[in-house]
Amino acid sequence: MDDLLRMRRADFWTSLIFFGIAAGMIGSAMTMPLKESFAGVQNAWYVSPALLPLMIAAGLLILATTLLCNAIRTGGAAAALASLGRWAEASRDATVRMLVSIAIIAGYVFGLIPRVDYVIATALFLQVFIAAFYVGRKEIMRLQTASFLLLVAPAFLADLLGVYPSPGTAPRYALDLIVLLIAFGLGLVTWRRLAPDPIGRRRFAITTTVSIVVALLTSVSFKFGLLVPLPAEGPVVRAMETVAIALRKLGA
Amino acid sequence: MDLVGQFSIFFGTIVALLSNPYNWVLLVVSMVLGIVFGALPGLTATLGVALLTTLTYGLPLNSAMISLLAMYVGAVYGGSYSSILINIPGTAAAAATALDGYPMALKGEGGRALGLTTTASFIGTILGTLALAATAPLIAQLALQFTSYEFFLLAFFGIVISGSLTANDLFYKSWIAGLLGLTLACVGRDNLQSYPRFTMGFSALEGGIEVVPVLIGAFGIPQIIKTMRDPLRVDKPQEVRKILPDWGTIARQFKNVVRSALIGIGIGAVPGVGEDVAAWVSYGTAKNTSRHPERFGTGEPAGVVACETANNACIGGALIPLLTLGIPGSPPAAMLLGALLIHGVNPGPNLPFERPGFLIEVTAIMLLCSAAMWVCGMLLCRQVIKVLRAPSEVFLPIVGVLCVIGSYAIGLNVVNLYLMVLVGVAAFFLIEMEYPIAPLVIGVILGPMADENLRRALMVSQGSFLPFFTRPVSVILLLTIVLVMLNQVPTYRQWQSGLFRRVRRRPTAA
Repeated sequence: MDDLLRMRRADFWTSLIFFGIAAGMIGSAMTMPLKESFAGVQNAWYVSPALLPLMIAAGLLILATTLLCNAIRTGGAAAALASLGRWAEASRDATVRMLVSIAIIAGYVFGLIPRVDYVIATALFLQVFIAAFYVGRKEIMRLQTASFLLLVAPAFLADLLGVYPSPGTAPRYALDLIVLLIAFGLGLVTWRRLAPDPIGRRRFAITTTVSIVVALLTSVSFKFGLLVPLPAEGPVVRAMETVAIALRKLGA
Repeated sequence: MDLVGQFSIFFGTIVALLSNPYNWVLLVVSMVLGIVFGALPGLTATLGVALLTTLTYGLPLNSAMISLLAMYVGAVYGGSYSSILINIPGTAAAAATALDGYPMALKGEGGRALGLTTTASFIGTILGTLALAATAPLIAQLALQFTSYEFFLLAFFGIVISGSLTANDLFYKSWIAGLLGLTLACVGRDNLQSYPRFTMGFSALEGGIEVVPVLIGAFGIPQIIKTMRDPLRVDKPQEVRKILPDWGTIARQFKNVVRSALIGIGIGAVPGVGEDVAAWVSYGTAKNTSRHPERFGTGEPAGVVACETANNACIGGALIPLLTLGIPGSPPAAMLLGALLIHGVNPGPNLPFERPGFLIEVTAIMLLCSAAMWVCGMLLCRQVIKVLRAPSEVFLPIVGVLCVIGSYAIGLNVVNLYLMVLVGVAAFFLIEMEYPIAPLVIGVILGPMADENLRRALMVSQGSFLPFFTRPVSVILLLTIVLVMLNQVPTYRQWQSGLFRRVRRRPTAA
């Protein structure tokens, strides 16, 4: 399939998404005060908070229709419907790399950052993200990504269900330490798997060093340099605070 | 104020800035960081300014501006390093530089090419700064006549024109991107009645969408995903011997330099159109006006000089609409707008009254940045080249961490991070489908201005749209918007070129 047809096929799907967004906007805008009074003020249509959203939605509807018509005219719609249920392209190397990148970034932000100690979360994220691509072996990419997602998905779900321990409690610290142990274990397994590959091992050593150094450097510069509290502060950040207080006392 | 008075304030500002040793350190460190960001393929000037925004929000305004502008100037210039030495542009702005820069390096003239780009970038930045100093007060004065009608149209104009030169596929994809940006801008309590719009019951969204995380997401995340998906295989950089400014060649290229700078300034002043377009247009013009166009692409110094003068002159041009109208001229300028808002500076026609002297301060900082760029470029070039060997698979995840912690640091709100990732992933897919991202970002930035001024204007006219068609500036803006939109429609362009052909043929037939 040539690039232009692939683009028109994507246009077909995106036009449907834009229809959905426009319809959602119109539906929500119709619930906003149009002529009714709001907060004790009698409204007029031209000061209504729905005015701009309705204009945007109308514009989006027109342009989505144009996009859809063009996709139908150029064969994009037919190609889109014909490809329903087929995931042939998903097996392509570039697509896998793209999906792995998105999954790791999303896992870090949605799963780790709000819950796990910043230093541990960041070191684990960097180890997984760099090793998956830099070591240059597909089985390492699979191992790192799968382990990472298996770790972050339950954390995310537990928080969603409201059963994840609150910040500053002993169970939360324990979970932070468990994540640290898993990161360590994942590192060891990867190191063993790379035994026959000296270049891979050297690259993994660089990965681990960079992960730890960057996690520590960013946490120190934001927490103690810019005085910005970190998203989640667990045992490692607390240990750093203790060291900082001790250093300040020594200096005084 | 007379010219002498303004010059004395200008030089007084430079002396005041330089009297603080901390500013010297910031200037040099940010400049070197900027050059490294520009030189490394996969990192961009916009991303550099974005990440530095989060690190400088605790600094005083003038120190933060030194840091951010040094990063901007350095990154636009630094892109030429990898273009010349490894034939991979460090930034899109330096893509045209590779056409003649790399052949020069292959001929053993890498040092000369780098010297030329450093000097041309220096001159380009200075000329862009002069244009900023000369035109910004006039535009700000003119913009004072604007009322809600004009401000609404101005916001609309910014969104429409930012996509006019950046859409590669269907012309209306840039309009869709602009509308999506406006949609995001509508989220949260509206400014006039404080009614919660599209918050879906989440209290975190009631304050509206934070601009900086959206910008970091839109510019940073797609860059990371794209580079990890298609990793860059960097060859060993070409050898560089002596790096000299080569003033002789620059002097012989005087016309080319001035023309390229004017192109850069003009394109920079067009909202949302960045340094890359300036470099390509100026390269094409230099080739078309050269006596030896056949030499272009084979290591012609004029090609390198044209691109590098234009892309750095574009910086000054991009700051003109940013500071006078509050509309960013380029993607890094959009990021700079976010940084200014964080520091409590509201760019626009009221800026000279709210912060008198700020424009002169920015001009002085730009001058310092161009000088620092030239010195760092000449002295640290060899050290920066070593950075080109860093693998993108290692530094892009680090950029990911900086995007995350930077977005969090702005409002200490995890929701900003969720927003950053969602916007980033959506922006990645939109870019893949050839939707330009500049109109989306400008839509997010200008959305509140459009919303507030449209309703205020209609309130004044009691719901009548007539003043939009009777006020002179409104009519000019409306006509410009219509012309820009029509100019993007292929049918109109065909009709227009057919009309021109007929007009040209008529005198010959007579």
